[in-house]
Amino acid sequence: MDQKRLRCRAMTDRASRITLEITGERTLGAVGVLDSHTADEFEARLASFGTEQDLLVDFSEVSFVDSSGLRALVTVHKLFEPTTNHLTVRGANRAVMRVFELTGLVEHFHLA
Amino acid sequence: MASLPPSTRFDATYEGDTSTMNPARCDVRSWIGASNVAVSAPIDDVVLALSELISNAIEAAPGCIYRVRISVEADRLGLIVTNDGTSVLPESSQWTPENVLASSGRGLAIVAAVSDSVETFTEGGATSVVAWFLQAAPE
Repeated sequence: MDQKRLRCRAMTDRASRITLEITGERTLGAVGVLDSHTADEFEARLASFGTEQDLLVDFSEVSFVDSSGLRALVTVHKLFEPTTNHLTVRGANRAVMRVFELTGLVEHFHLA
Repeated sequence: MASLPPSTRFDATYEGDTSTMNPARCDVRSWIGASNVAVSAPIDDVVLALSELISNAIEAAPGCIYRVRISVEADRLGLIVTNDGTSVLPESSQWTPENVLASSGRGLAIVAAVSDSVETFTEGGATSVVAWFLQAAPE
């Protein structure tokens, strides 16, 4: 049985969650799932770090992103547009990158 | 006149709240993984489409129970999400390939991109959207 199914079975009765922890100077680590249930809180927390400097968020532990999650990222990405600073998403897995690609955001987001 | 697929192999209802999205995604992922149905699309795409259809169902009829079904036909699998409310799916779609930074409107575009076809049915005050995925050719 693949790892996703094992993880799914363990979480099948749980609502999705995402956490955003400070892991360094202007560097955050996101862990969890970014969907309609978690996007608003994620967006508010990400935006709270401000745009006065570059901000990097590590997505290597984000297992799933849908259009609601994209909306949250786009909203914060736009906050940076009037500045010379960037929001950078690092380490997105293949499934998350596919969503970025499907929606053309791979050309707009700062990815690392 | 086209109608909903009559035969379904997976059939579950969930509360119309975003907290049920993860359980619904997990149920469908597990069902497909345990079944002998092989779709040509990656299972991540099927689960992504499901998430978008559920989001739309909850947005169209907040608080109403929604139903997730899977229909298996000879050459394709249908993922059916029905909201029991009388609202129809939102038509507005700000996202376009030329306006990728739009605030909303990506959901159904993603469903259309990852599935082979999408159909919408309205019957008895309920709205159903079916995303079809071709079955993989036997090896």
